[in-house]
Amino acid sequence: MGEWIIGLQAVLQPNVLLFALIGVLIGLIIGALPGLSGTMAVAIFTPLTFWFPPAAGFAMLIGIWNSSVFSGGISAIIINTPGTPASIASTFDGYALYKKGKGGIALGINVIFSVIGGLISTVVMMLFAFPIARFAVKFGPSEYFSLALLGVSMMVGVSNGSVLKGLIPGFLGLCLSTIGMDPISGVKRFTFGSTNLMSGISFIPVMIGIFGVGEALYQIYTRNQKVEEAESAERSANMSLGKIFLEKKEFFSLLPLNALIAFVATFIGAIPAAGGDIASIICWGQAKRISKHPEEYGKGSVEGFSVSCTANNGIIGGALTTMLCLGIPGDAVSAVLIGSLMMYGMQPGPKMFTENRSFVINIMLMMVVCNIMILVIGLLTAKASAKVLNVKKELVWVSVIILSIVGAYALNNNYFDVIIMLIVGLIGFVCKIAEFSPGPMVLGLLLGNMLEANLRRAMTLTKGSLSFFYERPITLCMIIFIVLTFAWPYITKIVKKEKEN
Amino acid sequence: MKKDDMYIGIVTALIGIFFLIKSLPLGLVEKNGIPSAGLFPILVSGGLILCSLVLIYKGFISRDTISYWHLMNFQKNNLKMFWLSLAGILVFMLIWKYIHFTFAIYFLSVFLNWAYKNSWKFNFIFTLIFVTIIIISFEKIMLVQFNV
Repeated sequence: MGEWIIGLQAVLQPNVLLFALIGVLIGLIIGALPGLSGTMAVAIFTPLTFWFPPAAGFAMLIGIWNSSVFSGGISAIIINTPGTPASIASTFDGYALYKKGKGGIALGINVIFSVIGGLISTVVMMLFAFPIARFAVKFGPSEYFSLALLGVSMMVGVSNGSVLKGLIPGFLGLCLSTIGMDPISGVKRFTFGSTNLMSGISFIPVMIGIFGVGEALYQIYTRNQKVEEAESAERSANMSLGKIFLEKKEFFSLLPLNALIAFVATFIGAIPAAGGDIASIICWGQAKRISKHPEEYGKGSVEGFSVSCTANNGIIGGALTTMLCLGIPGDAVSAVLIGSLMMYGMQPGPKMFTENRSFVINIMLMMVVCNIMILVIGLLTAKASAKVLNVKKELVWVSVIILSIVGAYALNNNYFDVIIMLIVGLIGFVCKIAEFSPGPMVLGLLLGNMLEANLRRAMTLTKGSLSFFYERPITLCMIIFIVLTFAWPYITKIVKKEKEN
Repeated sequence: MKKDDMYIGIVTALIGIFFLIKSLPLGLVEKNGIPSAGLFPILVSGGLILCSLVLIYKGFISRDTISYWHLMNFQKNNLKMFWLSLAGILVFMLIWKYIHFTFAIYFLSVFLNWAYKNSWKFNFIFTLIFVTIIIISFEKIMLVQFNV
């Protein structure tokens, strides 16, 4: 208990609170703008935080993450376009509520239930993270190898469209991770005599390139002014928003279902690379199945909208649990945060719970503080927040490109990092145009070292044998799970065909 | 899948072959069974080549000839903005390397605002405020040295 009180004191320091507040405000603006995701915001602002004390810097990133996910619902309500992928399910009922003249209620629900989801998932994280980390301490190289493989394969498995278009960027990321000194014997690989490549390709410039410059270039290339004009006309219709608070009775009647959904969202969020969009759609679908009024879902159901908001932020606790306990990302933002923690000199994973236990507690308490900030700021600005959508895209593009360049350089005062960031930005742009998922590439680069080092350690222990795949029960379970992840779409296809026949 | 995937597959296959050729001299496994530095790159580059070959095949048999790069008529202006953005960034990098960062960053902001058709008034006010804040916060407060 004592360490929690010390943690609370650390989190309530004025500088930590200030940076958390700045993060919440940045997240609110960026999340509300369609096309700008929390991942982009966290990637761009990560280099900036290295100049702050770790607690303050991380508070800012946690603030951006939580706030951007919640504010993604604002554009879902007003213009039927999710601000972030996680708020996709919010468009199902949020926009219909707005059309009914209940935009204020929808904006209020978005704030309150996002915070409820965030807080419940944080409590779940506080309860389960420590036992999971204690269990994971027993993991050896083979378990870590299969865990990293699970992380990469899940990202590929859930990548939109074809598995092949997830696998290729994944392998490309793994190839990039091999550049530099090898993690076991220190042999130089693919450095071409360049000192800049000796330590490998830095993760943060790659993240900034893909999610910053790459995304901005993609938006410039695919801009559809006709759609923008339609959205603008939608906003200028100036539909009345009305009140923002639900009736007390209605609010309390929604709580049990939302509490249940928060648990489900936390669980889905904990699955490596499951992502907020998938989690919120699954939660919305499950809530519809158990609802007393499923026919109202998708037509402006207050209940349906509240569960999608709860699910949005509910996944964050789960994703953070996976990230902190196992060192593998629960989603794209947590992949960036792993890079941030590494830059702070911390290695996410079970050892972090012993070596940096106080910082783990700080992170958990920051989640609570940021959610409280979102509640206050979100309610105070509920109606005004819709105005964020008036920010011009051109302004955002210029800002993103300049901040990406400055951020990539500031990390190591290295011009080479900017070149890497720009090249990867172009690769990210091509990936998006050609419908490849850039996520697996990032994950491949991030987990490549962990995969290689543990594969080689495990093989060294068994003198080159691959017996650890079937002799170690946890490894075997994870390998079976990975195989099932890839085989599942084909199995369901065969079963469907059989049924049809 | 589209025909374009065939060309993308060829590029990724070439990248894979490059990594594979460069990894082979590092060896797969040592005599005592201990894996060498080349094992992992060989495995992943092999995986990349294999997937690329499947992509080339899928692209080859695809009947969808519409390019990923295809733009509607009303989006043609996007192409100009895209190339201008790239050109602006390239010139910025050169000015930064050979002249000075401060000059380069002001140039980039003015150029991009011009390329995106923001008004000159907005352009200058935005550049003055935004870039000055960036320079002050990074150079003066965080003490980042932008000289390269």
